[in-house]
Amino acid sequence: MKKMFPAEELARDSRFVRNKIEDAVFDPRHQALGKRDMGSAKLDPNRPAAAERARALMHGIFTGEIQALEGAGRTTFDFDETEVPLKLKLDMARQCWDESRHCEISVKLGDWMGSEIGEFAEQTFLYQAACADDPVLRLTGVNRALEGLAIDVFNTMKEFGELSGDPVLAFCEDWMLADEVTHVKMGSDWLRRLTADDPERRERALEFQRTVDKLFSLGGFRGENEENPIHLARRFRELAGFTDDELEELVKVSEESKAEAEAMSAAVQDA
Amino acid sequence: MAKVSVTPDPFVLVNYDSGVLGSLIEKVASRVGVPADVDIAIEVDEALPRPLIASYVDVDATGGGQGRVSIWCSGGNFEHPQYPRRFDDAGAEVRLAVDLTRAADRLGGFADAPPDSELSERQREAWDASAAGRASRLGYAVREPLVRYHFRLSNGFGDAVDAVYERLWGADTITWADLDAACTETAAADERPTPKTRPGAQGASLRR
Repeated sequence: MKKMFPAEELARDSRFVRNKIEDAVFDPRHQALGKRDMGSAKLDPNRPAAAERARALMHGIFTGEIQALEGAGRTTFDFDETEVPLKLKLDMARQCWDESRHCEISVKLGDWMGSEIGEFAEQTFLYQAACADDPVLRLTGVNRALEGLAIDVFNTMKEFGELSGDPVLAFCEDWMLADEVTHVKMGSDWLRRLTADDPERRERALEFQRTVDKLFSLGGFRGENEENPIHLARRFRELAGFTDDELEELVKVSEESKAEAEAMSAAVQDA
Repeated sequence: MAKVSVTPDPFVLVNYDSGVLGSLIEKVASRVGVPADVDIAIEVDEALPRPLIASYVDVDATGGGQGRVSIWCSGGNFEHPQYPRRFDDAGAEVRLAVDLTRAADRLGGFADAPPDSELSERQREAWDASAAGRASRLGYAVREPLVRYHFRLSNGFGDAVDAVYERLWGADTITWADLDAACTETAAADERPTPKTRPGAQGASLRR
């Protein structure tokens, strides 16, 4: 079986379509929208088009769960026991079990919200972040950065379910959120253990985490302001091993990401 | 045949064709019962992508006679969910079927309904559910679970609200008075501490 499996070869059936993040970043409508006062972007039932925003995000969660399953699965296989302890592999195997369950829950939530599998395009950059050849980078890039994002997303969706009085959505998101806190905690714990005697390796891994965090802040997708659809779930991140300094850094990264995306979009339009 | 005008013409931010959209409107309007002598004007805000889906359907006095159907909608209404900026023929047909059914309503038993901008979210989604049910029975590929989710989000999650939904979805004839009474019923059954009540919220801050 092939090791270090590329994103292009991930198995999907004909219902799925992939697009690139650049397609969204360079969409000419962004500049037109940027000039308007669109009000709060926070995912809230009282915002216009709330149902469609929630459905699109839920489908994104679903494809994210598939890729998280694929990423954790690869980590159980891509490294031998001279590279990672067996117990880390067992944690990754447990995570696969969780992600499989999340996929099934997400499919059912999609049904509940009137969506279809593959209805929205999939982007594979989540899985791509899980392809680092150093397992420690996978712990920071996937478990701490991406599963950390999952904490923020699930918490936002849970709140959306509570505010809209949707008992099914609120309940399911709460259960998945609990798993994500565990996944991030596993990343925090293993990072500390595997790099206890190698501060340089730890710093490289944390730098990779910062890169992934910036990528996944998606031009201001996540943050603490009204214009951020997804809000930072501070309390749950603390439970998962994030320090206050790391949380402040995440807020800064989100602001930088937003500014960079706006500058890039303006440059494309001017060209 | 109704005269259809599409704005903008041409589209510049999305890959839509005004002629294709106009032809589709003509075809759907005729099938859902908009009288042939009623003109239709549609303005598409092409800067608004998915998932910012919103529309207003009204009848104004322009043109005399029964008036003119006037539609404003976001470009996201017709956008392919998998390919940004691409026109989604099948999805557009369904959205137009629902909107134009509501236009036909306004020319009939809904003459006393407030303009779309003054409808509550509850009323708007209830009307959409009714129109979607009728469009479905005409053969349009309406996704019922999607309509139901929209309805629940605005009207509440619970058996009593679901019963009203079933009634609205299944009714072949309905008036504004019927729909308003149905919304009073769902409001009474809605146990949420802060139900969605913002008037015209479906497109409130989307329409300029």
